[in-house]
Formats: sequence, structure tokens, C-alpha cells
Amino acid sequence: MPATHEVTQLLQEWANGDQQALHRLTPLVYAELCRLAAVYLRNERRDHTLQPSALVHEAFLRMVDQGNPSWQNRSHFFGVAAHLMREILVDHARRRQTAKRAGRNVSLGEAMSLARERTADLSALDDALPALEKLDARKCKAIELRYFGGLGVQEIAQALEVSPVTVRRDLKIAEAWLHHEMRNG
Amino acid sequence: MTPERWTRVEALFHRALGCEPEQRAQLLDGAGKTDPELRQEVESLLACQGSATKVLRAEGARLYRIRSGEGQKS
Repeated sequence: MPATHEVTQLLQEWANGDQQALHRLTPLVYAELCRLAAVYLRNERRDHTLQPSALVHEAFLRMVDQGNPSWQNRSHFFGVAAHLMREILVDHARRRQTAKRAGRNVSLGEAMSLARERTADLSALDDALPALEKLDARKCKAIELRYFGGLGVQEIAQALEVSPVTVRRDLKIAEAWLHHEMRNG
Repeated sequence: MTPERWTRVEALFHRALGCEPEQRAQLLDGAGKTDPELRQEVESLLACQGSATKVLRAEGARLYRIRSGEGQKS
């Protein structure tokens, strides 16, 4: 794991407008989130349910210098981590689904029903999120921070540099839009 | 959807949410006269509102749950 002051330093540089810092930061955060997920999977019971937001919080505590906490660091870190968490978990779910299907012979009917199940249960949200991102990037970011980063309205407001009222409105319409997409998309 | 369209949908959605049921119907009727599609889009979003959070949480949890072992039901 990189030293906490290195991550803190990169967050600071990124906050000051250095986009290169983000490029160097992203793989570090990604690696740590993957490592934490793997540790959980090894150590926990079979039916253990991992909360993505808990993992993001743990990564923050481990990676960012807590001796020098600043709100900017925290919100920037959560912005990166919540998005990566979403990617990691979607990849994981997809791999599981593929492995399950490859593991046995299935009839055409069964395969069709598996495909439908996947569409209904697994892919609907994952398909809807990029569509929302395209339609309205800030609202997608708010959803990510809320559901994958586990941030509250005030924290999201600071991270996105908008008012809490705007965050509430963003979440409200984005949730309704996603629900509608998942049902009809 | 164009950004302009989305902005209009958003504005009407929030105005409608802030209304009492009777006012809401009037507001949507008014909007529907000049732009029936806009009315329909906003109505479908309003229909998904409220239960949306619950559904998103449930689907999100199902999709993003990491489980060890092969005990996954879905």
C-alpha cells in the first residue's frame, strides 16, 4: 500500500487542479479497494454481505493521512472511490454470472431464462447508470456517492460544490429516473 | 433526450412534486396542452417517485452484494 502522505499529497494536487494527480491516484485507490474486497471474501462467512460503502470508508481511513484531515481530501477521495467501487462490484457480479453459466450444460430454454433473469435482476441498474451519466453527469455522481460511497446529503453537497437543496432535488429525480429506466429500459 | 428537454422535464417534475394533488393535476393539464410528451414523461417519473428509493436500494444491494462461496440465489 502506498504511504498515506503520498495519497494525501496526490489528493491535494488534484484539488489544486492537477489532472495528472488524478491519473496517478486512481490505480492506487483501485488496487486498495480490490485488496480490501479480497480480504473480506477470504475471511468472512459464506453468506457474508459486504457493504460497498463500508469498504470505501475503510479505504479512506487506510490510505489518507488522518493526521491532516481536510474536507477537500475526503470529498475528492470519495468521489474517486465510489465510482471505482461501482466498477469493481459490477465486474465481480458479471464474472460470477459467467462462471455460473459456464460451469454446467444448460438447455436453450434454461439459457434464455437465465438471460432474462440477468436482465431483470442484475443488469437493469448497471445499464441505467451509464445512461444517467450521459444524460446528467452530476446526478449520476450524486447517486454514486449516496449508494456506493455511503455519503449523506451534506457531504455530497460539499463534494459536488452545490447546495444541499440541490442534492436532494438531484437525488429525487435521479432515483425516479433510474427506477423508471430499470422498469422499462 | 436533449439537455434542454431534460431541464424542462426536471423543472416540471419538481414543480409538480411541490403541489397538492389537485394543483398537480392542473399543472400537468396545463403543460400537456402545449407539450403532451413532456406531460407524459413527467407523469411517468412521478409514478416512479417515492417507491424509487426503495427499489434502487433493493436492486443496488442485490447487484452490488459481494458474497463469498456459491450460495448466491439469483
